[in-house]
Amino acid sequence: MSDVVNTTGPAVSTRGLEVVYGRVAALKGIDLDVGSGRITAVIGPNGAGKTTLLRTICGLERPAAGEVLIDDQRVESASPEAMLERGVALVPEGRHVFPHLTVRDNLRLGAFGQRRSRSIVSERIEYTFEWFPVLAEYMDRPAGTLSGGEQQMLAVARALMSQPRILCLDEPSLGLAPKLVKHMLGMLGQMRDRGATILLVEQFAYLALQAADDAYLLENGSIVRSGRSADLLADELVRESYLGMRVRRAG
Amino acid sequence: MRTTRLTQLMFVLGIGAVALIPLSGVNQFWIFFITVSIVQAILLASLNVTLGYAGLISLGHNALYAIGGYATAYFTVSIGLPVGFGILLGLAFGVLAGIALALTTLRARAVYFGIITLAFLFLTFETVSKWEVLGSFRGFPNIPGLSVGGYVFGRNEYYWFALGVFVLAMGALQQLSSSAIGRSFVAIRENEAAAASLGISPFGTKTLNLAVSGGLAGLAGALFAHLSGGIFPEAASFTNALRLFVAIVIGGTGTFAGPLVGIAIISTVDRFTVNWTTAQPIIFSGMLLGSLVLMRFGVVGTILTSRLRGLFLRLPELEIPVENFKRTKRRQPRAKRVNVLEVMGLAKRFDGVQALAGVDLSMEEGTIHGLIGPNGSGKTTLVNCLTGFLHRDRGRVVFQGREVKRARPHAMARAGMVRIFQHPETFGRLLVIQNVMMGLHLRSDRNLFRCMLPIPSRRRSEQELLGDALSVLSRVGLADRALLPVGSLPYGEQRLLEVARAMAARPQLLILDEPATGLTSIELVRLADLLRELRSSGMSILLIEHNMEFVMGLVDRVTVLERGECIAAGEPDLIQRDPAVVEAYLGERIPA
Amino acid sequence: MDVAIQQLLVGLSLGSIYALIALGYSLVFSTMRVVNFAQGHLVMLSSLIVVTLWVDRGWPVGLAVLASTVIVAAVALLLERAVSLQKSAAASPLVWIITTLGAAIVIENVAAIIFGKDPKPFPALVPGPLVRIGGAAVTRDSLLAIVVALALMGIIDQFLKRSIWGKAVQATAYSPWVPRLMGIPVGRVVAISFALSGAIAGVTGALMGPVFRDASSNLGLQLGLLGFIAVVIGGMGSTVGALVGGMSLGVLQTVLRGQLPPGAGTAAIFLALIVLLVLRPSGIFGRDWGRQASGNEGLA
Repeated sequence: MSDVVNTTGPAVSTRGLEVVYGRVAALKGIDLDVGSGRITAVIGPNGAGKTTLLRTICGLERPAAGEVLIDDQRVESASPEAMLERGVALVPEGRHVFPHLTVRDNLRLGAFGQRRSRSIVSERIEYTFEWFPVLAEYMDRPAGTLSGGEQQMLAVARALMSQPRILCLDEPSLGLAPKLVKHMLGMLGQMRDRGATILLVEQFAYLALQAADDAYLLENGSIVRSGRSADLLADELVRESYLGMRVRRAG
Repeated sequence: MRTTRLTQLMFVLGIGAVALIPLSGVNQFWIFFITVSIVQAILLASLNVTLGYAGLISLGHNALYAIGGYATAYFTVSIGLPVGFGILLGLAFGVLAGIALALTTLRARAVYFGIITLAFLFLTFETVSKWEVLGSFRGFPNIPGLSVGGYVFGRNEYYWFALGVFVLAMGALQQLSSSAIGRSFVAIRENEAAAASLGISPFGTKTLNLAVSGGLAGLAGALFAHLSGGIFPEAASFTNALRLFVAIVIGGTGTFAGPLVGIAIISTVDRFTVNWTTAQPIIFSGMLLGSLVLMRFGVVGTILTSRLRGLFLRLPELEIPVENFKRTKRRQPRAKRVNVLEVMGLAKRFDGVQALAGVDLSMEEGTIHGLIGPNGSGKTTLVNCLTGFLHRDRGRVVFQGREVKRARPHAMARAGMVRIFQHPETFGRLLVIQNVMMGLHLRSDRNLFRCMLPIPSRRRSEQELLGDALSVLSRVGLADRALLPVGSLPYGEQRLLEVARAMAARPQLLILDEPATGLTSIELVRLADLLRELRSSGMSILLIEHNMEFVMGLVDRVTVLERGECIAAGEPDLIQRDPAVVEAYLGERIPA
Repeated sequence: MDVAIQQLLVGLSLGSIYALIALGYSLVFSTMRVVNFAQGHLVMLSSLIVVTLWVDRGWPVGLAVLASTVIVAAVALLLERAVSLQKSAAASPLVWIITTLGAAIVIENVAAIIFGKDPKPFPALVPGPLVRIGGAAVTRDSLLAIVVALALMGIIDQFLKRSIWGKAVQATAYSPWVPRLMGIPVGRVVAISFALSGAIAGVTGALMGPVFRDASSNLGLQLGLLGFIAVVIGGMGSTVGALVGGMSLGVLQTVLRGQLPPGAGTAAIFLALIVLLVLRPSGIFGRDWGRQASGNEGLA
């Protein structure tokens, strides 16, 4: 991970972001800042638009209106490849490791841009072993034979291979045992301590809030709460939002 | 498609004019030429049934035509049967060949169908051009002609006979297209999964389609054989397949007039380029590729854009009084509460994950049962296993007291279990009312012969169905949208439409997969009221949802899944306070 | 016994041709989900180019084959552009079917115009007496076909498994968008697989000549269909599958030709295709290539 900590401003920002699917507004007027060298969590019930937000930031979706800014440059119409060059890497929902390729090959593909230099690629693979030592044992196994948790680790490792400045993760906890989820989140914290910028979309609100520095609560395409995650943790709104116990305001 | 009085009148006049041509003293050659064109139009119409209605891309359709022609040739020439029998056998063999083709759709990828039909064409060509029994490369050059009571048909007689068959065939197809069977073809074409969930069997429908189409093609082939006095292997040639395909692409598959226009254009091009044997295929392929670029709906389709389209395709005036959805009386509570659904130890593993690890669930009849849990907990997998979209690995399912051995989607729908999908699966290109009509499939007259005849009882039942559809739409508040294409509806209304469509099927158990997603508050209230009314009329409802507010205020009981296991079940209030459930959704809360 | 070995060897050499065509289908289908109707026609085109350059123009045979391979690969790339430009999520399959089918017909007819409609006799690539193995006697070209097919398939297999672009092809076969997250140029990967399938067709055209005795513009459809049967037998998406499928089809066809009256052999094979599609449509080694959309198994 890049050790350069940009303390002058957010790593990624959105301003007035709007995304529309057909006639449905999936995201409405989203203003969001991902602090440099911090973990930002986006939580909220299903259908709130969390994945859409992440995909838009990473270039897989085009917004109908609004901006995505990296280093004060507008990038909302950039392709995923271009975003990768700006240092944004996405670990997609559902992991999507290439099942018939070995762990080693999955990692190599993660550094496709550096394919010409064997030494760089090997170095980076060694680096991912620091975080995920278990992968070292499975180097030559087809990725499809790994367990769900191991595949998730591989997916994250694969994203790290491009040495991103900003790491985005879409529901990394999906289908994982709680212990593994905590371990994963703990690791993200360590990466942050080393200067990484992380944007995390998660469905397990409490776990995400404990791991993150800042958080946004998304509901029906809009941000209803934002701030330091410690504050949101204490806010009953979070619980009610998830468990449907709030009296819905009209409109 | 329904046609208006205007088109019907135009059709009758057109046919009348065509019928008078032989009496005008035109050269006998042209009479023959037009007769052949008419027979080919019948063949093209059969291709339209398969390609246009059902969306099955048959590239080698003339194989069925050749089979019909050779069948009649063999039986009348080599066996000596009367010509009438020969023609019927030609039709029969066409039906059989169509069914054989349909068999390949049972498990092979849909993408392969095109090349399979080409392989079938090749097979036919090889067989008829090499097998001595079928005349080998010589074919059958001396096929007896039609005769009625000793009077042998001349060119004029063949002309009128072919015209007559054409008119009858078109009439039957017209009737078919506005029947439940015709609708099932379109349903399979537009959205196979949605169709299956409403009780329409994809494989059964394709088989029926190819049987009808094959019969018609075989008939055309048989007619051609007797009309021209000979049948030769080139009937099954790839060049002819190409001509046919170009005709239908250029003419367009969406309308009745399309095939006629296509044949007219092709025959004309044919006639004028008959001496350019080398250039002909290039001209045809050029037309094919050109049509791709210029005319997305074919010549006729391009002409019939928006306004004009309305003129030709207007539905019959909706004069049916919109009465309320027939409310069944509120059911008296039974002495013994029966379980509409019982699930025991259901397990399913796929993609290396144990999606369901032994789930139990019981639902009482006439209740609304909620199924909740975090993402990836297996809710949709459970529904897929129940309705047959996935095969379960282990476990038992008892529906309405009967054991479900091997579920298949359309069969489950027929048994009374109808589901809605997590993402909208509407028939997007059809009108709202047509979508609901699909839901009425199981209650429509599905007899093939009755669907091809314009009998009054069928018209009455179609009107009834239309009325039913309208009343269902008004129940969900979409009656004023009836004639709009579904794709133009906002997301929330599309979901409501799916509910309406499922309701139309009058299931015993209605399964809704996240119906509240994307609905506005008003729509949510409407939906909740609707579901309560359905419950009081005796329907059982299984509701998967994430919107807790919506679910908890509505359901009688809740089952909570996490990681493929059932972690809690009971009444909503208790569930909301259950610490295991809280943890499942929010993760552990470490005390501050 | 001699007859058996004879038929086996002849069958294998014929099967080599089918196996290579099957491989072409597989490469394109796995990255694009498109059945290239022009696959057989590319082979046919190559055979005509080779025989014209070599026999008519007197080029050295190696150069002729090389030139043909380059030309056919270029044609394949053109075709890829035509299909890719039109392909979008909403487009009906009719679009790529018409495009590849139309291309096949255009190729056939252009070939007929340029090279004439009459079959051109294709001389032996490797002249010399028949080779005796056991009690059987086969032409050197038959053995050449088998050897080259095995070698070529081995090369492609190694390319797919070892080179980074080969792995990118496998990644694209799994999903069209996930590789983009890693900066893999999916568009270029698709073009590469098309070009490769064209290059394979180029070499196959040269091998095909002596096995079929002549080069003719109307062999395209037959080659395409038989190659398709081979890939159905062996399974799409697998190099080994293409090999096994092709070889077994070749042997089957040769054996049947001996036993059954003329034409019935081919008919029997097509009949077997229909049966196979009903019973085991994914073939022997058919891969699901782990696509994320699992489910819908019970739909029929």
